Amino acid sequence: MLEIFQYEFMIRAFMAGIIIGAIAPLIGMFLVVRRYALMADTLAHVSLFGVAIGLALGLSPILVALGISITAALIIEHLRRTRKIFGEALLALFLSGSLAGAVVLMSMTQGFSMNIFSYLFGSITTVTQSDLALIFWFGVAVFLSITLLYRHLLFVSLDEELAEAQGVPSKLLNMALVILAAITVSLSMRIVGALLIGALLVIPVITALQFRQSFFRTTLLSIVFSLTSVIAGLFLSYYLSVASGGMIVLIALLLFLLSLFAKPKLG
Amino acid sequence: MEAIKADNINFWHGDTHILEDVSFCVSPGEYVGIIGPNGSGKTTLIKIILGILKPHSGTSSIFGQQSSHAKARSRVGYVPQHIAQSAARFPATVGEIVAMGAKSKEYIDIALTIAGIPSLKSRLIGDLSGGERQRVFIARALASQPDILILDEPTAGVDAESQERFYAFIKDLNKTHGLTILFVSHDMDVIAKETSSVLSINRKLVFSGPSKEFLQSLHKNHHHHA
Repeated sequence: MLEIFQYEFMIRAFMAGIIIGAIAPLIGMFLVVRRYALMADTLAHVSLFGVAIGLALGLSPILVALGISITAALIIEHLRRTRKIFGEALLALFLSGSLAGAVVLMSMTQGFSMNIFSYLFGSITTVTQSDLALIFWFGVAVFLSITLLYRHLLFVSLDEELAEAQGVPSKLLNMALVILAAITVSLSMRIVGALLIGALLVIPVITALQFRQSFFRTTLLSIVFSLTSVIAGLFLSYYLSVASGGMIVLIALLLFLLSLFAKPKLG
Repeated sequence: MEAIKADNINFWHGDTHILEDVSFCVSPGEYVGIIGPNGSGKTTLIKIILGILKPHSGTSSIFGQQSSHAKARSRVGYVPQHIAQSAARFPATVGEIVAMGAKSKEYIDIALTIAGIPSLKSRLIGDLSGGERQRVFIARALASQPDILILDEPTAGVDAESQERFYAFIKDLNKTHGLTILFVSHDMDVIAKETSSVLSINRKLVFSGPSKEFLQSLHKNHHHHA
């Protein structure tokens, strides 16, 4: 057995990473084609605010992050739908607002600055058994939901009004998508970190899009690229002693650059 | 029973009265042109018929069912304005798009054949011409086996030659397949020649009747002005 797998925290990190690597691009596909990629980053910052609250109150940071980011996602979706504020401005508002909240909370409560650092950039050594259980069950729920809603989500992503006219409940599906995105982002913070999770949702998807396949195949390809990035990133982060989130995203970027060259041969 | 029935429909956008007391009926198998200048409320009317928008007063029904009802929606195939252009960058194949809303898998192929594009099934939507993309969205609407087909300005972005073939194709859908068709356009002359009857809208219902009468009144007016 490889030395790396003698450590239980590494096994946990790999298991968590594989679950997240599989669901992140599933959500990312729908966000990217709807020009909503910044949503992932926004929700990540909102999750960070949740983590800061959890740490300050002595509650489970991931659970609080889940609750806060789902609530924020629903508010954002509501405001987007009613067009009270422009989509991008809305995301910027929540992104910086929640980061401000997190920073203020952090500075009020001394002593957990190292802890928050691991949520910012991801830290493989910090995935606990209970984190893993949460990531597993919520991850399975996200995966099953997307599988069940896939056809309808695809329709709503193509054209909301058309889907609605043909009897697809587009409002509910939009809600479902942002809730699933909020869950995915909150779960991913341990591995990739709040500042980099957006990249894991988006980069494997745009890499897969370079190959100009069907939506379904593009989704499968994006999962392959995402899992490759996570697994290779975790290995390198262990052997080079660097932050896992950064390494994973750098590999995802490398795959994207390679796809730009590989594309013409396939096409 | 009427295929479509609109009764005293009123719709406001803020203080602007978009539709005022619009009432009409469409019989099954009719080919109807909805005509009016840009901003006359045509698309709003269509969205009310489809149940996407609720009128502030009045009712709209499809085969006796309220428009917002799922049963009503399942009988209508819809091709929205600009969809052929806006979908050009969507990363999906023709087969995937036609499958959206298809009642069964075999109907995807049937719809593609009716639309005359069976060979495009595995192509990416973005690789097609404007005219081809237009047919893809007609096929998508047909795949749900509708009784009524509603087309909102479908020839925008399609070159003149393809447009002629497109009109012939829609006429054939009406004649051979017995589909009730609503064709929304701002191009009065062309549509009135294609359809059997015309609804002319400019906030209010300006004209409702056979296309021949509409064309005659149109030409009379022209002579009058000349």
